[in-house]
Amino acid sequence: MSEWVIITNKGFSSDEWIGRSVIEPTNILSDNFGEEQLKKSHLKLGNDFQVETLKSFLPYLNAISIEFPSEKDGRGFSLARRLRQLGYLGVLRATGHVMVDQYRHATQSGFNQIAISSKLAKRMPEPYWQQQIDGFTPSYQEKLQSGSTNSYSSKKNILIKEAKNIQNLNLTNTGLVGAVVTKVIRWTDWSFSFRVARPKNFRFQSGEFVMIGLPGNNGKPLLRAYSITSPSWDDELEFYSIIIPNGPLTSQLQHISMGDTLILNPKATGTLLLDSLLPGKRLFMFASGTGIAPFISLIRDPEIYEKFEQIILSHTCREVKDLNYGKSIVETISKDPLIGEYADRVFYYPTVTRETFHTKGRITDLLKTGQIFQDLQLTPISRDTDRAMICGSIGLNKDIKAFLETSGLKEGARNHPAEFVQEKAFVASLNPIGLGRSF
Amino acid sequence: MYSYNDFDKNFVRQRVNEFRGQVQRRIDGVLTEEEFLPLRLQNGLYMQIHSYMLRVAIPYGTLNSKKMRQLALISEKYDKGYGHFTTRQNIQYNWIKLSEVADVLADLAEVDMHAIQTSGNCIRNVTSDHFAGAAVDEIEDPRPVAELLRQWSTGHPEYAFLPRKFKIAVTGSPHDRAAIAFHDIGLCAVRNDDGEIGYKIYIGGGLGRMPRIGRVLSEFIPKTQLLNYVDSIIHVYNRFGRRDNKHRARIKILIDELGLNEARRQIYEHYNSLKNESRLPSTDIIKFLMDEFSPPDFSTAKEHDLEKDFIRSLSLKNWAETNLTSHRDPNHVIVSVSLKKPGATPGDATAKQMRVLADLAQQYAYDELCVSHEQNIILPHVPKEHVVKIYNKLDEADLATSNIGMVSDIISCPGMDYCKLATARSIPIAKQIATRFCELKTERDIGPLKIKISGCINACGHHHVGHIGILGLDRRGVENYQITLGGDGTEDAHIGKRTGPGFSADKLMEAIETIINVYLNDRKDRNETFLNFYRRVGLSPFKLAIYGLPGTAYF
Repeated sequence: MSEWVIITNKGFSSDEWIGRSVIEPTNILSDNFGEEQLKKSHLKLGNDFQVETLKSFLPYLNAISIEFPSEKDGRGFSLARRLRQLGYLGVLRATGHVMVDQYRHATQSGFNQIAISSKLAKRMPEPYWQQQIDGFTPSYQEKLQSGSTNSYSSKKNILIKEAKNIQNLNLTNTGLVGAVVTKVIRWTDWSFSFRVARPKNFRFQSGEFVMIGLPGNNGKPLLRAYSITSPSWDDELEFYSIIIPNGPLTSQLQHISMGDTLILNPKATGTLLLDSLLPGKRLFMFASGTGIAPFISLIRDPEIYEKFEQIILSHTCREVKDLNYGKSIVETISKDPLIGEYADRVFYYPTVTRETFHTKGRITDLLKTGQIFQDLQLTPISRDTDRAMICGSIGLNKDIKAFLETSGLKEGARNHPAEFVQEKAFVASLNPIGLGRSF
Repeated sequence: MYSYNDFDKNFVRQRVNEFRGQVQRRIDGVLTEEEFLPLRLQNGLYMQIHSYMLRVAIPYGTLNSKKMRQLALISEKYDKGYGHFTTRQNIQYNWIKLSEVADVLADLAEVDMHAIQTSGNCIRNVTSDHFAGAAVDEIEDPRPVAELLRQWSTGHPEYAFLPRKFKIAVTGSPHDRAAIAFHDIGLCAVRNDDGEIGYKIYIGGGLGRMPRIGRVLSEFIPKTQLLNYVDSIIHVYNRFGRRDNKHRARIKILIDELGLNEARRQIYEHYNSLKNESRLPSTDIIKFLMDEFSPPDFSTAKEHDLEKDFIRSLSLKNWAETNLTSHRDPNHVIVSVSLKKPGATPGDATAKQMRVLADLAQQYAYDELCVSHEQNIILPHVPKEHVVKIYNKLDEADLATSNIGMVSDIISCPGMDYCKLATARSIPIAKQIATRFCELKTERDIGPLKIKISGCINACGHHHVGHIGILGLDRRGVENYQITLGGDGTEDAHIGKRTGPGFSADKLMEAIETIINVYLNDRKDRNETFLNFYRRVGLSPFKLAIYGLPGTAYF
C-alpha cells in the first residue's frame, strides 16, 4: 500500500498523480514554467496561501492539492472555494488529516479528491467513506443559490464528480467547442439562466442565437438553439432556458452547475439585428415567454442607444413569475456603468395573460386597443419614426407582423434593411414557442 | 412565523441520522475523542461537570405553543423537569445522558427544532430583538433576515471549522435590544436616502476576556447583497483569523491586528467579486421570508383601557409598570414574563411553567412567544383586554415577578454550579443580590438597573455590558469578584469600567449595596437612572465609597 490513499466518489483508489512533478507556488511565481510543464505538474498549496496570486496560471493547471494539517483547521475549505471561484477547473485534492465526517464539507467546497495517510485510512476504512459518498445531504447554500424558496435539491454531493474539464470532452475536428459553466440561477421551478465562459475567438452580434447542449446518451452532442442574452462585448455568454419535463436536453441541462462543460457550436446567427433595420427614432421589441432572450442581449449593448432614442420592450407571459428574469435585467440597466445613463430611455412593458396583473392580456390586443400607448404615454406606431423586432410564439409573430404591416412597416433583413424584423427561422422550423426555449 | 417546509424538515432529520452515525463511528473507534469533539459540539452537546449538557437552538428566540410544550416534555422525559433559557435565546438541558441525545434530537425534529451549531467553532444560532414584530420603533421586522442567515449558515460547508465561534445578531429597531455591537457581526436595519431598507453592518464586537465594541464596516448594505457581504467577512476570517492561540482567535482580534481599513479592503476584494456574480439572496427569497413573518391580524382586538384594570388591583399595576411595553398597535401590549424570581436560578423554567406559557400564548397571544437574551420570556402581541387574565394565570404559576429591567432582573451564566470553565459561582450571587433588594423593598425606588454576572472571564453573563457587572474569578483557590460600572449593551454601547480590586463572596453584597446607596443618595431625582447618574459623576464617588480613601483601602 502506498503512503496515501485517495478517496473519490468511487471510493478508495490509488494515486494517479504519481509521476507528476511536485511544485510549490514559489516555483510558479519565480521559475519560467511553460504551459505543458504546468499541465503535468502537481501544485502543492499550504492552507494559508494567497491563492489569488495564482489566478493567471489556473487555466494551465490540472492538479492542485491543499494541505489539511488538522481536523479542526477549516482554512482549506475556503481556499478550495476561492480557487473554484477564480476559475480553476482541474482536479482539487484535500491532503492530510481529513475526517470521514468532513467528506461533505470537502465536496461542497469544491474538492474532487481527498488524500489521507494509509495509517488514517486503516482507522477510517472504505465502508465508512462509502456511507458518506452514498449519503445525501441537503444543502441550504445550494437552495439559496438557486433562488428557490423550497426546491428540494435531489443532487448528491455533486462536486466530487470526475473533474470535467475541456480536455475530457473529445470535440476534436467536430467544429464544436466546450464552454465552462460559471453560474446558474434558478428563476422559477421551470426556468433558469446560466452563464458560461466565452470560448476563445467566438464572435457574435447582440441578438443572435447559437446551438448549445450536452453530450447525448449515444455519445453524440445533443444541441438546441439558444439566444445569447448577454451583449456582444461581455466576456461570458448568458442563456435563459425553461425546463420541459422529459425534454431530452433541458431535463439534463437543468442540473448543470459551476464547472460543468457545455458544448457550443461557435457559429452565431439570427435575424434580430440592428443592422437589418433602417434608421429610426423608436424601437419596439415584442416578446413572449423566453422570446425575451435576444432583447435582453440587445438592451445591454450600447449600440442600441446610439441608434435609437427610445426603446420599448414589451414582454408577455402567462404568469407574473415568468417575468422575473427579464425584469431583473431591465432593473440593472440604471446601475450599469456602460449604459446606465440611458436607463430612462427604456420603456419596459410587461403583460401577463393568466394571472391578475396591472397590465393583463395579450400584447396584440393591447396594441389594437391602443392601451400600450396610453399606458406609456407614447404616440402610436408610425412608419416614419418607428422600427420593431418580434420574437415569440407563432401566433404572436403572425399577429404583430400583420399589425405592423397595417401601419405601413415592411419586414427587413440583413441584406435589405427595412422597418421590422422577426425571428422566424426558429419559429417556423424548430420551435413552436420562441427563442431560448428548447426541448 | 417561519414554518418548516419539506426541505427544512428533511434537513433536520438527516442531521439526526448523521449524529447517530457520528456517535456510532466514535464507538467503533473510527473517530478519536479529539475528532469527535467538534462534531459533538456542532450538535450542541457539551460535557459539563456532572453530566452532558444539550443546548437547543431557538432561532432568534421565536417559539410557538407546540414547540414550548415539546421543550417542556423533553425536560421531563430526559432531564429533571426544567430547562434553562440562555443569553443567546437558546434553551439548555443540564442533565442529559449521551445515549439519549439522538432521541432528544429526534423529539426536537418532530416540532421543527434542533441543536445544530449551538456550540463549536462555527456560525452559531442567530439572535435578534425579542420585541421583533411588536416594537414601536421598528424599521422592519428583523426576523426574515435572521431566518435568511440561519438558513445560509446552517451546514455551511466552508464555515464549519472556523478559528473560533462566530455569533451574529440582527435588529430592526434603532433602539438596540439585541446587543448587536457585541457580536462578531451585528446587523441593524436602516433606511437610505431613497427610503430603501437595508442593513448597517458592525463587525468585531464581543465580550470575553478582550471586550470590544463592534466597528462599523458599512453604513448600508442592500438586502439583496446581505449574504454575499456576510459571506465575504467570514471567508476572510476563516482564512486569516488566528488559530495559534485560542484566546486571540475571534474576529475582533483579526480586526485589531489588521486595522479596520485593511480588514475592510480584504473583505471588499472578496465581496466585489461575489456581488458582480449574483444577488444573494434573490428578491424572491426575501419576499418569501417577509411573507412568512407577516404580522397577525391585530384589527380583531378591542379597544381596552388598562387603567381601569389597574384601579382594581395594585399588584397588577405594579407588575404592569415593569413588565408591559407599548406595542406598535394601540390595542395591544408586549408582555415580558420574568424568569427571575428572587431566590430562583435566573432563566430557569419548570416544565409546568413552560406549559402555562404555551397555553397563554395559544389562548390569548396569537400563539407566539420569544425568549429574550435577558433570559425572560416575551409574549410579543397581547390584546389589552386579556392582560388581567394573563396576569392571574402567571401569578398562579409563580411567573408574575414584576422586576423586568430592575435590580433583581439579573443576567447570570450558570457558573461553577454547572460549567466546567467557570472559576466562581454566579447563580448563588445572583440569588443573593435579588433576595437582598427584595427584602429591603428598595427595588422600585432604585428603578432601571441591569446587573450582569459572569462566573469566568469568558463573560457568558455579559458582565461587561451590565450597568453593574460582576466577574467571578479564582484567586489562589478563593472566589473573588470584580465589579465593573457603566456598561451598556444597547445602541449607546459601552464596556463597563472596573472599580478596582475584587471582593470576596462575603464582602461582595456589601459593595453592591454601597454602590447603589451612592446612587440613591446623590442622584438629582428619581428620573436620573443609575446609568445616567454614573455617566454624570464617573467612577470616583463609587470607588471612594467602596474602597474608602486611598491608602486606607483594603488591597
